Parts: sequence; structure tokens; C-alpha cells
Amino acid sequence: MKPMRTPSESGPPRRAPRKPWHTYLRTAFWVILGFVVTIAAWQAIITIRDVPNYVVPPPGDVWESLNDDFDTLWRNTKPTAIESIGGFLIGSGGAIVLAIVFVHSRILRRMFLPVVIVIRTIPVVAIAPVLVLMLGNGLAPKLVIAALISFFPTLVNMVEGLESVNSQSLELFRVLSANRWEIFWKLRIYKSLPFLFASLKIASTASVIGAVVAEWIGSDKGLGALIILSTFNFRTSLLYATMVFASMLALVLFAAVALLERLVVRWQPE
Amino acid sequence: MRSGELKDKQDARTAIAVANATVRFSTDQGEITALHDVSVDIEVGQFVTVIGPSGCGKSTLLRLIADLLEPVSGSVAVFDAPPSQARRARQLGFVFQDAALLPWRTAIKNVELPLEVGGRVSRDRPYRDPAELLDLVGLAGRHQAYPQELSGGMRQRVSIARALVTQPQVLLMDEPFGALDAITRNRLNVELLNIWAEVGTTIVFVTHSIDEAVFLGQRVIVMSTNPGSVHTEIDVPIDYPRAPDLREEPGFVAIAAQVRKALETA
Repeated sequence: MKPMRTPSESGPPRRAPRKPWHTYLRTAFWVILGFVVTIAAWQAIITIRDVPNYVVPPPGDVWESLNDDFDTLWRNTKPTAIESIGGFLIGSGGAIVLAIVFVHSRILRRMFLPVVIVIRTIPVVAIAPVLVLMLGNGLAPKLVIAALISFFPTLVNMVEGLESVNSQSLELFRVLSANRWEIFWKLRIYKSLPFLFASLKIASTASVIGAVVAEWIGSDKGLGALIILSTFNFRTSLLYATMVFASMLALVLFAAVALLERLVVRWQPE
Repeated sequence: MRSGELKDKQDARTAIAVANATVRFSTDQGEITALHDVSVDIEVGQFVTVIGPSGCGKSTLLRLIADLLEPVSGSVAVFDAPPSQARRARQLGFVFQDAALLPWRTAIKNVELPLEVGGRVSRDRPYRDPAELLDLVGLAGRHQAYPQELSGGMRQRVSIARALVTQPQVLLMDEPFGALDAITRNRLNVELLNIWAEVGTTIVFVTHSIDEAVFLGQRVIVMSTNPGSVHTEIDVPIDYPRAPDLREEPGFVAIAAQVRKALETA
């Protein structure tokens, strides 16, 4: 028999059309304007209220510090970056593994999910000194704290994502006599990816917070240590410049995760 | 081709035998009897449609045959064996109400899915070429499209191709065209009959459209609700191939009226 074909339904595959370049330009314009207005307002308030420089530095001083202290800032960014990225990878990785275990064992999940949730409610600032006492002043406590802070959002989202399969998909795999392993690798993993990336974006910026907090408590290097040092020495411009660097580090990690998501999740989640 | 040798081998055999099957579900409101004492026999190569009001258990009947559910009493046999055996031997194809395609796979990759899962059985068995099947269901040129790039009708075509790739002897279809517009639905009805003529499998097709039930089936099973059971069976003695304008012919209209009356008393 000849294959049937209807003209309206044939033809090459269609893709979502790309946005024209000038829409990006327009977006960029408004974003830049937002920053310019904010910085102008900052300068205006300092001038009008006559705020002393050691309390809030004017934008110009921060810019100077960013240039003059660049070497110091960059030197201290490296350890914080290592701690954040390391902690992020360990924490998210552990969360993914535990989520997979929880999805396959109802009993383990029932036993340990409450424990995990209780640990989650303890503020990082409270756990950090304990970990520094336990693990000393080195890299270890920073990694653990950054990992902890990345761990929880990823675990919760990953479990939800792996369970987000609908009954019809499960029936399909059952009719096909698929085993658990196949259901996992051909269905659950894909269903979980949009959920996973949503949480990885949160975890990537949170890990920087974790690393900085850990450095506050016991470190002589890193952006956290630099924040403490510049505060005690009333070098407010340097403090602000450090905050800019910490923020940039978080943004870079976030952008890396977002880029990875675009490369991996190429389909439109339902 | 394959349909010919299949029919010689299994002529006049019973493909599906459901005998006095009862299915119960436990819900928050207590036990619900979805099917009560249902008996259905379907011969090899037959096209049977199942119609009934919502809640009559027509989808439950399909799931019973597909080994997605088990009866609390009575029995189900597919080719004289338990449905689980038919399922593992890839003798069953299932088409769901919404196409149930995996959005991260292209059309062709979705059709290939049954060949990738289910263990050694599937690799040892003969299968149909996925590309050829997509052409057969009218999707030539759209093999690399993702589900979200396809219309509802095209998605259902992909899902039919997926169900056929393992060369099942039984094709179970659960209101596959229920969500489509009337024009697409009528066109797919004609094409489904053509596909059936080509592959020659036994088809059990659940619908709530009288028109569709009579147009497609050699036999219409009318089910009634509370509890779900078989009300009557109505034969459709109209030869194939059936053309769309069959719907205006007196013979067709008379049978449709018969089905409608049966549904009113169901």
C-alpha cells in the first residue's frame, strides 16, 4: 500500500523562530538604564543627606577601589570561587544521588526525608562555627558549608522532578515491559531535568553565600575574609568592591548553569 | 504481507477472551466496581469498537487486556495465554488518549522507543522499520520533528506508529482521536482502516462517538454503567474499504440508530 500523505502536514521540520537582534539590544538598553539610575540615586542620596564616606562610599570611590585593589580582590576571589564551585558540585551531586535513592526506596525516604528537612531548618550561620570547630580553618569546612547550602534545594526539586512522571507515561513503559532501570534512564531522568536546573540555578548563587559565610568565621583569605578585614579597618570602598566581586562570582556561576541548561534541555517541557 | 501469513496461521482463533471478569478499585470513598462480570471474545484480525457512557469501564476493559490491571475474579486470555505473557512477547500495542509522546525525542526516536526497552525479547523479535511506519501513518518528511512542533493529529499518528513498531498482534486504542477536531478525526478514521488493512492486527478501539464506533468496527460492544458491564453487541455487516460518505447511507444510519438506542437503555 502507498503511504498516505496530506500536504498540510508534510514539509521540513519547523523550529521556533529566532528573535531579531534588535530586541536583545532594546532589552540591554533598559537593563543598563536601570543600573545607571540606581547608581545615580545612590550618589544623590549621599550628597543630599551628607553621608560620611566611611559609612557609605560614593560610587566613584568604589570604582577607584575596584581598579586600585584589583590584585587583592582577584587574589581573594580565587579561594572563594574554588570553595563555591567545589561545594556546589559536591552538594548538588550528593543531592542528586540521594534523590535517586529516595525515589526508589519508599522506606529510606520515609525515614530520612524528615531528618533532612530538620537539618535544613538550622541556619547556615549556626552550623558554620560548629563545622569550623570540627574541621579546622582549611578548605574542608568551606566546602562542606557551600555543599550544605546547595544540597537542600537540589534534593527537594530533584525528588519532585523524578516523580513528575504522569500515569500515562508509566503505563506506556509498562506495556513495553520496561524495567525500573529503563524507566529511570528513558523517562524519569528527562522529566527531572527542568526541575534540576531550576534548583541548580538557586544552588549556584547560594553556594557563594555559603563560602563567604564560612570565610567570615575562620579564614585569612577569600572574599569573606576580605569583607571582615575591610570592615574592621573602615575601608568601606574596599568592602563595597568586595561585594561587587562576590556578586560577579555568583552571576558567573548562575550564567554557567543557565548556559548548560540551554545546551541540555533542548525540548519544550510540557 | 505479514497479515496474510498471520491469518492463515491463526484463522478463526480467538485473539482475546475475557470471561466473567470483575475489576474493583479501592478509593477514598470505598470500593468501586469498575467492571462486573464482563465476558468478551474477539477473533484474530477483528476490528472491534467499544462504546458506552463515561464511567462504564471501557478504558478499564482495555487495561485489563493490556495487563495494566488484574481482575479480582474471572479470567483474561490473549492468544490462550495470560496477558502478561502477551505483553512480554510484544504482542500488545497500546495507543493512549493523549499521544503520550516523550517531548525530548523526535518523532522517529519516539517510534523507536519500544525497540530500546523491554529486555532481550524485543531485540530477538522481528520489528518494522520505524521510518517506514512513519511514512505509513502519513508523516513522511516530519521524522525529525519534536512532538511540540506537531499538531494533535500528527502526534496521534506518531503514537500509532510507535504502537505498531513491535508488530503487535493486538492493538488496543483508548479514545485515540477523542481530543481531535471532527475533520482530523474523520480523516484519521479512514487512514486507520487503511493501516489495519495493511498490518492486519486485531484492534480493540474505545470511543464515545457512535459515528466512529460504527464507521470503524465490524462489531460494536455497547457497555453500560454502574457497574460497568457489557450491554449488547451489535454487528456492522458493511464491507471494507469504507469511504467517508458511507455515513450518509441508509445501512450505516440504521446501525448507528441501533447503537444510539442501545446507549439510551444502557
